[in-house]
Parts: sequence; C-alpha cells; structure tokens
Amino acid sequence: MIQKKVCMVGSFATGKTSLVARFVKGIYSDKYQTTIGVKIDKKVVETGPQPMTLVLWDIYGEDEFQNIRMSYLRGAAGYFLVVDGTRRETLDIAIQLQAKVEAHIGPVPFIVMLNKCDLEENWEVTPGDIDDLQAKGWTVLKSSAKENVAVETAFSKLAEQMSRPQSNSIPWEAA
Amino acid sequence: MDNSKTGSLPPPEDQIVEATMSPPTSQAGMSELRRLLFGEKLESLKPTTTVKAEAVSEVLAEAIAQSHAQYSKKLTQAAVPTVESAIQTSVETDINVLSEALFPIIGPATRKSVAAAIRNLTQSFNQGLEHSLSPQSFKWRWEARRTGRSFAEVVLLRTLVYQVEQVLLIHKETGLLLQQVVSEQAQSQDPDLVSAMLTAIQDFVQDSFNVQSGGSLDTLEVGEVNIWIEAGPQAVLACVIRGNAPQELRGQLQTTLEQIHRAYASPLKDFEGDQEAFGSSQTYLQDCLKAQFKTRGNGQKQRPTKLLIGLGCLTLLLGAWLGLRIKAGQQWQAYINQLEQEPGLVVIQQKRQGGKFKLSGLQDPLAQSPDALLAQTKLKPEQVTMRWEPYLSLDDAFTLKRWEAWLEPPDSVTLKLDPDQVLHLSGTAPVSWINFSQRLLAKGGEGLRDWNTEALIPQEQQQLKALQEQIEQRSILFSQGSTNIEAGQQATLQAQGEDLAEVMAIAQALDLEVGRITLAGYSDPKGDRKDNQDLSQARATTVQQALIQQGIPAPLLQTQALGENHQTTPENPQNRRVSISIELPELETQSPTPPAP
Repeated sequence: MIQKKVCMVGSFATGKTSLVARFVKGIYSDKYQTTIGVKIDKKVVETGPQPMTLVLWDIYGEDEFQNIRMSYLRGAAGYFLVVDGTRRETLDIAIQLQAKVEAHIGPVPFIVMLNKCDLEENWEVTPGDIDDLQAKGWTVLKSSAKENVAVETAFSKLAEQMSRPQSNSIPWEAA
Repeated sequence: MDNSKTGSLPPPEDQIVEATMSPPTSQAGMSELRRLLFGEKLESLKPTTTVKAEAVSEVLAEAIAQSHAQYSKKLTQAAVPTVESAIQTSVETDINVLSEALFPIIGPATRKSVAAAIRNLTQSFNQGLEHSLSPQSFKWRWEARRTGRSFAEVVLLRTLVYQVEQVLLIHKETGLLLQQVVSEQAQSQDPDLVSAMLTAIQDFVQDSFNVQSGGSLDTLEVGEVNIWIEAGPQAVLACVIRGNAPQELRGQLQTTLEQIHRAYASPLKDFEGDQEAFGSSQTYLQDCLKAQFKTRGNGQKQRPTKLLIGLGCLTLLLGAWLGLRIKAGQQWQAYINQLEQEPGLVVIQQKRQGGKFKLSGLQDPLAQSPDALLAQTKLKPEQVTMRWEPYLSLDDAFTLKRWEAWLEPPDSVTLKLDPDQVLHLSGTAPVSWINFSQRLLAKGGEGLRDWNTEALIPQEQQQLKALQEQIEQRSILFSQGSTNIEAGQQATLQAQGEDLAEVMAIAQALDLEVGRITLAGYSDPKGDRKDNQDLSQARATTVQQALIQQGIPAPLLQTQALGENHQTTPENPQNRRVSISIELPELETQSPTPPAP
C-alpha cells in the first residue's frame, strides 16, 4: 500500500478540521490539535492505479503570526491550502504560507481550497482573485465542508497528483 | 494475442541487429560497421584513444547517479577500497580535517552512550537496593554465588517482567509507518496514526524545548506503559512496552535499527510511501518481540515456583523457629514448676522478653540453689536472668532445718516437728546442750507453736547411773576371819576407787554434791557373833582407809558393819566382803519456759 503524508495548512477557522472531519472518521479527539498543534487522521483513497493511504496532518492555524510549526510539514507529499472565502485576509495568508511551505519542503503538489462556498454570496474573495491563483498554475477548488461540496474530489485530485512521478525525484535536475 | 503478433513480424532493423549480435566476419567489415554507427564520434570511443578529463568530468556526476540508481551495490563495492584508502590518507595527512567533520556525530553519540550506561548502572543499583532485603534475595544470593555473577545482575535478571507489545518502524522524515509487529495479547490503535502522532510529538518536543540537534525524545512513560523511541538517520523504531524493561533492551533496539538501516539503506533513502519494500523487515522487528516474550515467559513460569519455594522456606524457617521457641518455653515452664515446688523458693514474676527469660522471686537461705536447679535443665544460663530476694520460709521442712541449724544438736538427739508446729526434742545430750537449747527455744520459737524437751535425757545422769551400777555390783572379798583383802582383790578395790573418783569429778563439773557413800562390811557365820560383828566393821574400815588413800574425801565415806546376818549361801566367799553403795545427787535441768504462742 502506498502511503502519503498530506498536510492541511491555512489560517485560523478556515475549516481545515471540518474538511478532514467530513472526509474521515479519526481516532484522536480535537484536543490534540490545540495541545500540540496538530491532529492526525487517515483515509484510504481508491483513485489511480492502486489505493493510497493519506495520513492527514491537520495543522493548527494561527492568524496573527502564521508561525505554524514547519517541522510538521517535513516529509509531506502534498498539502491543502485552505482559505475562508468570506475572509479576504485568509487568502493573503494562504499565499504567504505557500511560499513558506515551498521553501521548507520543496515543490510538492498542493490544492487551494476556497472553503465555505455555501456562503458564496458573502464572499470577500472575488472571481478575479481566483483567476490570479489559476494564472500561477495553482489548482483551485471551491468547497464546503458543511454541505460536503468538492471534499472527496479535492482529496482524490491531490492523491492523483501525488501519484504522478515527481519532477524533483532526480536531484541534479532540481538543482 | 497482440503481443504474439507483433513478436512474429520481422522488425525493420532486423539486419542491423543481426550484424551487431553475430561475430564479425572480418576486421575490415567491423571497422566499416563502427564508422556507419558512430560516425565522427568513433575516434573518441576507441580504447587506444586518450580520453579527455574534461569530457569525463562533464558526465561523471550523472554517470555515478545513474549507476547508483541501477546497480547501487556494484558501485558501492567498487568504491569501498578507494574510499577506505582516501580516509586513511586524510588521517595521515591532517587528522583535524576528519575529526572536525566527525565531531558533530561523535559528540552526541558518545553522550548518548554514556548516558545509557549511567542509566543502566542506576537501574541495576536501584533494583539491587530494592531487593536486597526481600525473602527472595536469599535465593538470588545463592544463585549469584553458584553462578559467579554479581547479586545485582541476578536481581536484574529475575525481577524484570515486561512485554514489548508493539514495535513500529517509522520513516523519520514523513512519519509514515514502514512496518509494525504486535504481540498476540496486545491491543493496538491504528499504527499509521500512532506513528504519525509519535512523529508529531517528537517534533513538538524538539521545537518547543529547543533541543539541540541530535537529541530526541527517547522515552514516553504513561503508567506502566513505556514507549521507547530509538531514532536513526532515516528510520525510527518505537516500542510499546508494558512493565519494567531492562536497559539492555535499548541496546537491542539500537542494534535492530542499525541492521535495518544497513539492509534497507536505499529503500529508506528513496522512500515514496511504498510500504512493500519493508515487508521483510518484519523479521527484525519480530526478533525484538520474541526476545522479550522469552523473558516474560520465564518470569511467568518461574514466579509461582519461586513464590512456592520462598513460602516453603519461610514456613520451614518459621516452623523451626516456632518449634525452638515452644520447646524453650516448655523447658522454662518446667523449670518454673520445679522452682514452685521447691520449699523456700517463691517465684513472684517471670516473663519472656525476646529470646530471654526473666525471673524475680524470694529465696530462703536454706533453700536449694536456683542456679543448681537451672543447671539440670537444658536452658542455657545466658538465656536466663534471675533476681532473688532473701526471705524466711515458714514451710515445716524449713522451720525444722532452721532449728537444726540453730541448735546444732548432737547425733544422739532427734528433732521432730509435728503437724501442729510443735518441735519435739528427744535423745540424750550433755546437760550443757540441753540448757542451751532450752534457753534458745525460750527466746522465741521462730515458726514454732510450741516445743517439748521432756524426752531429752541428760547424758551425765546416765554416766553416773552406769558408774553407780558398776560400783554397787562389785564386792571386795576378804580372807576368812581376817581384815586382809584376799589375794587378787586389790584390783577390785583399785577399780572401785577410780569409779568413785569419776563420780566425784562428774558431780563436781555439774556443780552437784554427791550424797553418802556407804561401805558395808560382812563376815561369815563361823565363830563368835560378836567377833564377826567387829570383823565386819574392821573390814569396812579397811576399805575406807584404802579409798581415803585413793583421794576420796573422808567425810563422804561412811562404814556400816552388817556382821554375819546377811549370808548369801553357805561357804560363799561373798559372805566375807565389803560392798559400796552411793546416793547420787538429783540431776535437774533448767526449767524451760514455753514461748508465747
């Protein structure tokens, strides 16, 4: 069985935990997240040539300093950047976080989750913003943990991206 | 089907393939072929051609990388001698270069090893201390002596009961589970999540407490569950242990981890989430479990036996001790009983204190010695402490004994105490002793209700009586019609004188006066009656004179002429005799005064 470590990254209250909760049923209670800053869950995804186990590290997001524990990201094969569509600043933070993460663990597949699409009429994130992200070549998905929109799709898509041979698998090409 | 079809079709380059694969027919043909295939580059590939260093350096890195990816073992093997001699040369040239490079590795490794050694020592010391006084320790000491191991080692070996319930092999970078083994009895959570969580906790601790690089969380303790974490460069071994595992296990974990690193060097390095490459590492992990099972198994099997043997020994010791204690107690009680039956000894208090006996009581000076009685028992004198106060026993035997001691009666006197505490004295004794005893008894008859000396006969009185009888039985015979003592009668006269002198002496000693001594003269009837009367008088006077000469006071000697009137038988010489009679003085002892009751 292929296993991959996947991280959930994003500002406080963007819905990372809700997305994971919608996706899996874990054994650890949420209190771990506030205690040591991470909550771990697991889900087997049945897409692609063979099933893949995703070990999900739901990392506690902090608004003020965004000083999430980068060591939790070590060895991640992919991650989700979770943005609260109703709060514009969470998108900015997500963009900054992406840069930090990539600096820390290298270019690995990730997906931007514009969450809370059930409240799209109240969104501060504009279609223009979305275009900008897509222009960077980023995969952007509108999701709702509350109404189970695009949750399965997002995880399957990331799994699929991760199962492709990585461009950085040959060290001298990356360098 | 498709494959078989394509396989049967002749490929377009068929002839060229054949040409390269079949042996060259001639040297010229071969050269032609080379020229056709490689064109201008042919020159640079010729073995005889000098290879340019620059050309090789361009492709060297890539070549090594490719070679490593495809034939990692071959390249490694080929590099070993070169690397070895390179290191050797480096050390010979300048030792500082390598030592500086190795310092960051050697430092923490040394520290870790020293810390582990100290932990081992502390643990063994603690165990030793804890168990040095337990009942089992005697068995272990014996075992240590028998096997030549130290006591601490044996304690460690025998006391540690633990089980490694789960062993997780975790990829260090990703925190993903590579492999795990779980013991049959153990219940485990999802190992994927556990290993990720353990990694997260490791990271958390490292980040939060500013741990120096190289240091890592190596033990988690929750109640009786310990999680031992052994981190290597690529992988982490985590052991869930229930109970108290020895530090030796840590060594085993390190060894296992090293073995895994050696055996799976390349899969670990190139890990992309595929667990299958580590399927065979189960054997290593299982070894960790198995070794612990064995220890635990022994512990479980031997514990009841040990316990039984321990209990048995304890019971035996306790039994022996109790037996000895009971026996000593019985001996002591027998001794106490003997003391209580012994006259003149009174036991007031006795107790057992520890292994010793204590006693206090009263002892009559005349009583049997308690020490002598103790010597007859099996009790040891050092076991017994006794304190005796002197007293006078009113026991009959003691009263009698005491009076015997006080009176010191002559052998001829018997003392008897009747049940009414009346002391009876009987037998003969010198008057002086009789007077002494009477005075003593009169002063206060200790322990006596009354006393009686009536049966005491003065010894002197008997003597006087015997002398009297002796004197009065003798006769001094005279020749017929003469005042001459018959031949051979002189001795009788002498004897009479001596006996009379003794009577006088005894009387004088007792301050008594001897009464009259009568010398009676006789004659036979032959001749004139008057003459015979005179003859008898003359004979008495003769004896009188003789006795006076022997020292008998004259005033005491009276003569009596009895003439021919007291014939015995006719012609009996006894008819011509003088006999002596004495009036003895009345001998009286002091009149005793009975003691007040």
